[in-house]
Amino acid sequence: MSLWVDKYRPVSLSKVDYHKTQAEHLRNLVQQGDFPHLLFYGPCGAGKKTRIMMLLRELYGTGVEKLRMGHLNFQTSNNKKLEIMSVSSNYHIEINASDAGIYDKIVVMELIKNAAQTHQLDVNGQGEFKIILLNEVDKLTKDAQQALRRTMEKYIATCRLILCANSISQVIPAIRSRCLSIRVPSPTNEEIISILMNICKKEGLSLPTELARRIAEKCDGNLRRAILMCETCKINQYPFDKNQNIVEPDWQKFIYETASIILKEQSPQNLLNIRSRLYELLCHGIPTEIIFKHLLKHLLKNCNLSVKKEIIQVAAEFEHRLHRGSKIIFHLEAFVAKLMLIETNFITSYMCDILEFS
Amino acid sequence: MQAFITSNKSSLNSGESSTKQTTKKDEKKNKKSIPWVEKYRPHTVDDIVEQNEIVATLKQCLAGADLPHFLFYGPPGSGKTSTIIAAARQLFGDMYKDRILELNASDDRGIQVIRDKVKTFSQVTVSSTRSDGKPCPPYKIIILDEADSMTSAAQAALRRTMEKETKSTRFCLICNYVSCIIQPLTSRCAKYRFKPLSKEMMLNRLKLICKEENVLYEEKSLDVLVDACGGDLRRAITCLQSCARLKGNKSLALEDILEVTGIIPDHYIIMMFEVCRERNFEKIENFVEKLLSEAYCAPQVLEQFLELIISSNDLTDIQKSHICEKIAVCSWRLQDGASEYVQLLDLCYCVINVL
Amino acid sequence: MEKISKYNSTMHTLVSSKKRWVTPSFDSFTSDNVTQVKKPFTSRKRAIHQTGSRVPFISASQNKSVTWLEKYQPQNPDDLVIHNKKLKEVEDWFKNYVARNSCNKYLILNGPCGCGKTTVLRVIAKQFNFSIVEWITPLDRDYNSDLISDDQNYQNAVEIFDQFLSRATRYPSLLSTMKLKLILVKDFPNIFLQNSDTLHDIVRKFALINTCPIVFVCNDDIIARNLFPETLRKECNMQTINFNPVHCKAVIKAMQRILELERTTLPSNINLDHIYQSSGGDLRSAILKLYFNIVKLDNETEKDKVTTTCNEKDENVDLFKLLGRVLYSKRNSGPDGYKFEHDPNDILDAVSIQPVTFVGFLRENYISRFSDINSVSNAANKLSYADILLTQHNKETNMMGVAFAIRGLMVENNKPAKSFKPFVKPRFYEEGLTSISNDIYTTFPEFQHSHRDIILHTLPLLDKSSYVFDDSQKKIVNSIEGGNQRTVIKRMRKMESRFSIQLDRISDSNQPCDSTLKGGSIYHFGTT
Repeated sequence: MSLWVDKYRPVSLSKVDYHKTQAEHLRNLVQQGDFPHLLFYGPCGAGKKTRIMMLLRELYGTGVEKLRMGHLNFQTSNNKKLEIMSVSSNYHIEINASDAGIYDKIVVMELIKNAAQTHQLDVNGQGEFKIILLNEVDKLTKDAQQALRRTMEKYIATCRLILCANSISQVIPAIRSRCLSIRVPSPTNEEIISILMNICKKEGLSLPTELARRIAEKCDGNLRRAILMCETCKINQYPFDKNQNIVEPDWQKFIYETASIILKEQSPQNLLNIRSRLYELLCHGIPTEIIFKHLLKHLLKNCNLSVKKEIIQVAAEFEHRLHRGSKIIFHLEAFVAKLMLIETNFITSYMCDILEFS
Repeated sequence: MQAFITSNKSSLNSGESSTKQTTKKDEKKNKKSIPWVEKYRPHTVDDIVEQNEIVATLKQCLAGADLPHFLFYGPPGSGKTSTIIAAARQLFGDMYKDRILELNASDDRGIQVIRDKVKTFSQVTVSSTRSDGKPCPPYKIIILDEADSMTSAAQAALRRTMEKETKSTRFCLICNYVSCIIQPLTSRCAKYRFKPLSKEMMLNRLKLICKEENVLYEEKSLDVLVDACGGDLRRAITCLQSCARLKGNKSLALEDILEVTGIIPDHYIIMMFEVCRERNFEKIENFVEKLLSEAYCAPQVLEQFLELIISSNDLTDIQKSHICEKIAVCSWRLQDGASEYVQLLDLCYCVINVL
Repeated sequence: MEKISKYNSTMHTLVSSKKRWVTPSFDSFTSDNVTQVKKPFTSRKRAIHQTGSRVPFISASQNKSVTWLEKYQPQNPDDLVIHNKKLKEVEDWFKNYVARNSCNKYLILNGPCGCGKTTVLRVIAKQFNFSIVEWITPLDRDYNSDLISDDQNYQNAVEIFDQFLSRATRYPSLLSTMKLKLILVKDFPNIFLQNSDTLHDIVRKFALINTCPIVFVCNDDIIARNLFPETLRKECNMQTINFNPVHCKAVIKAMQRILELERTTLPSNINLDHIYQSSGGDLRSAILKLYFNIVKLDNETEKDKVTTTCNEKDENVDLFKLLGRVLYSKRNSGPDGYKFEHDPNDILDAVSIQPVTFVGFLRENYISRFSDINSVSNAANKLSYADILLTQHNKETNMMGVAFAIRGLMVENNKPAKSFKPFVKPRFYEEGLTSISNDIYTTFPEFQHSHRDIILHTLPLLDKSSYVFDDSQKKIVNSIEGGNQRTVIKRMRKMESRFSIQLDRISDSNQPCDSTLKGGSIYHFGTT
């Protein structure tokens, strides 16, 4: 038995639930038998991966669904050995090159070279090409992206790259211009609701629209998360109640609590407390941008209107520094300290105003 | 990797019969897969439009005058590479491929390459007759594309080679920014600036291609495409081809062009400005989130927003300058990898502040 | 220096001059050093002529200049500053050796620098009529061809040492008049430090052969323990004598003796105590400092400044002292503003660890030393800038980063907190995600999306439902929770990476849950 997410994943381009015209375009692309390198981008949970798999299926038939896991071994210039997981079928290979950290350049180059060159040996395979699927291209270092651009051109005869990224702004223009970019927006709330309703109908459950709406609002446009949430709801309580508790990930609650603590008390001791919370988040593997975004969101929701502007300004600056520097915690902490200062200043000026008024 | 290789072979063996059957189809496919940019490259110097000065010079050279070293610079897609290749084709006829060496930034171009590859190529002397008996100039052409991304050390190494090999070789340096080429090199070359192509010319070219390739289009969509590409014909043609592929046999609509070029529909940008005007913080946050969930690319948002601000009539110059400054800062931060969400919010709040 | 050349001459006679290793490796350095030393003398001479108040400690007629270290090297046991007990231990060993001959031929002298290990040995050896042959690791070995592989080099270094021991123990020196011989090994070839087994073999080999005694001198406990483990010491009957840093009184006494012999006095602003403190029980360094102070004395007008900074720089300032100086910066208010008691530049100079680590220490500890949020915020801001500077791959910028952090913290901390808290080590979290990603893929193969998504969206939700994890998956979940990813991952890697996946979701909620899930979620945050 598999999760609903996997069970109800559409497998063919003709059966998608949303972005139907786009699916049609993709089919047109495949029908011509050849296509340029592709770059799928969109927020997570919008269905990029699903679309790529559908595209491959359209191209090669059901054979692409026979997946196997493998380990790829690479050796870096200073003799460090790297092991990267790959998922492959007879027609494609998929890796997440950003897993290699700073050695991603080697991984990208070696992988494409191997894939492209082994193909050339084959006499019969000339009209065809192989698909290399690279995930999280936006997380690759600039170096690796440059290398990618070079290899992309070199081996275009024998392989096609399908790149997958969350945000296109971190992909260098050189790659963007060499690919046909395909934007995959998140599904709208209505679309999510109708998908959830559909799934429940197929499972023989009745889902109150109200609950579906609440799930859709809580999932940040992430369909996968919405379906998982819905399934969790079902396990925790069935029959559904429209007001029932929707399980949210712990880290999210944790970040919100942290934000409240910042607003509650401003002192060096409290900063220490926040620091340990930040440590905890980081070592749970929560990416920094997520921490930052949610922290900011919650702060903006709960702070006074007059300090909002200042908070945003400070956030934008520290968030940027975080990318310039190397130790995340330095900047997160400086951000929190600055927030506390803003809050303190606000409170004191507020008190002054009250005193003057009275 | 091993699994990948073996599996590949086995699959091909099993599918051998089917591939044989489809060979004919494959050939057709191969023809089709030539990028239109290559297919519609100008073949003769006369085909080149708008760059009158260089065309005149090249014509002289074709008529028998000596060819100097060239330095072509100008915005991308204005026909620099096409020009020199067309000239070479006319000069050398069928054997032009042997007579030119094209190195672009994608190749490794350290000093070593300049020393070895360029030297060995330039040291081979060539005859002054073509294979078909017609006379042709006894030299070869080395095209260094994207020369501005060469290290200055490599450029310095080049200048000696250039002088030494003048007898047998002509160099053609191509770059976007002439300021990135070291002085000694520019002084050795005939410099030509390529102007961005005019709108009408691009439109004509695109229409011609559409006609040749049987692509249906809406009049307005080509206009938008030309606007979006801003004088870069290569990008326009590539986009056109992508669009045509996506659409199949249907006619190209405006939205398709926007989708492929990554341009954000105007109403979003106008809405962004309107939301800021309303001074409603919550609405701004929702709007930014919506924008990002549509997967629009933040630098592009900034670019289009900048245009909106500059062309806006109801902002004072001081307001404009404040907003532009913020846009500059935000786009710098985005370049460093900062979060799109935070930076866009920062920009919106700044706009509120200024209004 | 002189010592080396002396023994070199001895060695020349032992081995044919073709062997390159016997050529004094410090030749050039020696001569340089002598000329350097000479300079202050001349200037001093001039000064004396002008003032005429002091007797020169080295007469102009002396054409060979020696440092005080050599000049006042103890010649008899009474001059030694070593505790009598230790002295007796060494003497006993010699007595034992002479009496029973070769029964316990190994001696290990262990102690910090400058506590007189070699000096004691030399003095006592002279007393017992031993001549000393010292091993010097050859520096100028001929690596003339790149063809020599590492393996061969490795063989060579050990072989040469082996040969030296066998030659030196077997053949008497032609120059030496003393009957008995002793081999001194202070300078261990690097290869032994990496791979002490080879040394053990040699030691065992020579333990059986009837030869002259061998004395090893080490100044690091860890190295000593590594080179000569307890078992080896017992096996080969090696005696160990541990030395302590020289006692304060002894150092001062020795310095006074020198001053007396030199017929000179210390400048008034320095006392011997001060010199002792900065040397930290290192007699050699103390004497050099004394010498330095006296030479400097009437050389410059700014003598006070020069001498004090010189002393302070040499002080062994450990990390925690430095941290204290930054985080509890003391200010001396003057007429125009204040001055820090410890100059930030000096602190910067004294930083001996990696810049990143030092700033890491500062960051980990600064908050609790501040008393108000305003200054904390400013300080945090400075540290954030410092991190950016440290990220650049440029040594100068990195040092600027450290300087910025130090100054930033010192300036901002205008009201340091009074309470003292122990310093803690910095904790750095690079994104541990990459290390865990592979394992996530193997253990959760049915989720075809990135590990970030799995960590963020899938696992927390699955965990809240009654999804049953198999053992390996539980471990992953726990390791994400525990934060101690590295160790867990290492353990995981060793395990077979491809698990058979038996993922069965309990669809029927009536069925009892897995035992681990009863106690609540496994994926949870500790402090919630």
